[in-house]
Amino acid sequence: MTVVSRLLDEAPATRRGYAWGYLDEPSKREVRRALLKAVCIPGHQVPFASREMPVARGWGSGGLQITLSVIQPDDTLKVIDQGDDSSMNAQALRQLVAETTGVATTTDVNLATVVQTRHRVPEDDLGEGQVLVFQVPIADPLRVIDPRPSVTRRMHSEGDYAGVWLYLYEDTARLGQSSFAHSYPVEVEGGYVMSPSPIPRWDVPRLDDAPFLALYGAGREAVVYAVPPHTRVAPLSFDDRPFQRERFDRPCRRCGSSVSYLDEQFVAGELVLVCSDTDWCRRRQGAS
Amino acid sequence: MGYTSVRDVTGAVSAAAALARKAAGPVQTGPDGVVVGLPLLVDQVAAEAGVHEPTVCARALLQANGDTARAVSLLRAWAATLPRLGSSRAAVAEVRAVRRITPGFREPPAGQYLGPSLDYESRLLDLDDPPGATGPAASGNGNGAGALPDAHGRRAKTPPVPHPFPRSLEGLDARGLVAPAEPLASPVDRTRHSAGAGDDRGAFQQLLGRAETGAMTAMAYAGLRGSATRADPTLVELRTGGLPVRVTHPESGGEVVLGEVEITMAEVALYAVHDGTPDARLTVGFGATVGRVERRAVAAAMLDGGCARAVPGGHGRPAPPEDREFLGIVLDGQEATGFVEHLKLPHHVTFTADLDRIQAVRAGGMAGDDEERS
Repeated sequence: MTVVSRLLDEAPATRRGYAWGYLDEPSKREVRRALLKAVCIPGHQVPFASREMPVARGWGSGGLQITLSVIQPDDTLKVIDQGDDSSMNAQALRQLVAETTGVATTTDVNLATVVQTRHRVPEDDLGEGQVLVFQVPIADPLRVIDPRPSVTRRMHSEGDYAGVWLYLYEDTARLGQSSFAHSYPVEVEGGYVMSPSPIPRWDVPRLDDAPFLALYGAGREAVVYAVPPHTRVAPLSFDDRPFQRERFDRPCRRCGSSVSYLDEQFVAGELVLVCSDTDWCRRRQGAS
Repeated sequence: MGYTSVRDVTGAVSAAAALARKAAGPVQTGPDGVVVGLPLLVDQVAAEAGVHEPTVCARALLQANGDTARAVSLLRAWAATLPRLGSSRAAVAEVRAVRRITPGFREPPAGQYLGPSLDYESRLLDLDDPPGATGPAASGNGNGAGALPDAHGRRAKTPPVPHPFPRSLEGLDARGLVAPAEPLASPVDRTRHSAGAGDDRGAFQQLLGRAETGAMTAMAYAGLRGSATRADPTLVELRTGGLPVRVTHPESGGEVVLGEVEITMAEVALYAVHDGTPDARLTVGFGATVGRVERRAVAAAMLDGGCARAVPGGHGRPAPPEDREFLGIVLDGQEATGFVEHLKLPHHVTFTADLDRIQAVRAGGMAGDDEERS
């Protein structure tokens, strides 16, 4: 248990005037039904009646609805934003779930059963039985091809991904590589093309054949989608232009890691690189 | 088209303003003070939230430091956890009007009643007295007739207004000059249906009913200004009043009136020219909002009418103010403000990924085409 969890233990387990887990049971059932469909059709965007949540639209309301709908009293929750447990919004979301459910919270991903995340996959390998809930701002990878949902829905249903392949080809012809920085489009089990949410390209290969359940929630856009364990997830790329992850020319200033995703930071006026997964970095520093 | 039908021959304008001020009431503090002192602000929040509960709306405004978007967020999240116990079909004809104007008709059947309104008052900022304490003594109901009722509570009522009103368009409708509404709206609750249900006109009406006031006004303005040469909208009906809410009693099965909701409704008639050919019938758009922020109802009616018989523009799709799908994306204030403000959340992971791409392209570009780098 961490400092954050100890603080939360002092708070009441549930909030007066609200149901356990904030959402009423019919609303949770609605989300779970959509999630079941999403798990059965990996990568397919399933519409659901997204509720107005006590966080702003675009601030994790979709991920929050999933977390509140799947969490059980004996679960242990971790919430990160950019890999950081102490990011203000991550703290607010964690506190809301903890206050309305009383579940234990942690910053150690190895102790967590449910992890809600924005923009990262934790550096530690997640295992069987763990659930990773992604907050999704823009669910449709074809949004860049056409802004109209009616058009992209038809493209998905017809498997018409010529537009996104052409986009990739034009990028490659002009720039020598793909310009997709994050939210790199992936093909799921040879079927639907999906946005893995705005995780960096660094994290994309870690979704392939992963042992954990990945659930994606877009509250503002009112869709959920999922990648069940051990599903093929392949970034769109040409055979002679392999997919590239971010490259870092220096290791983490704090823990010395050269095997993790790094952020630029100014330390005493000097630009250095540090791990974006703060808890992973902290544990490595403690071990060394 | 001028306002020839509104002439202040009997003190109607000053009476209308006095009614509106009387409704605003003296300055108080707390939620009740907000309800009484800032009624139109409360109305805007109630409409955008889809929660018609003035005291709770005022409480939300206070908790949000007066930020309407945040107040709406608080209200919607609160309402989302409340069970839906019933639904009610409202009949437009049942509205007990306190204000009714018909800018498209000089002398409509049943007449015009200004009711409480600040529309025709000068906009000189009053630097002397607190709001609510000024204005001439009222002596009419806005139509120059009848006595001003006691303005206890929030709103003044003006009993002499006839009930029910005929629609001003009835005569033109009977002569076959009005195109039938299309498609007919079905009652849809977007908050309890999956995305994609928003294509229906009923769902669109709910979207308009809760749309962000400024965004909806801007889109209606864009349509008015941009397509003035081929669609000339005329406001043919604007009504404010109390709409009785009827529900079926769970045991007796009979109909019970729970109370009245304040509502403003507008009808706009569009005369359109398609491909150089005048449309032989008028298209009518309908808009409604709870409360009295009248531009909400007028803008909603313009957008509804614009979308009803929109024809594709140059690129095979309608212009934004006539594109129901586009409006469905941009008009909800919570979606817009939430997503715009989410840029305040940290983005260093994705920004690092962006920088990595830029550096990679710069490095790759050095080897080849100079033009691509510029």
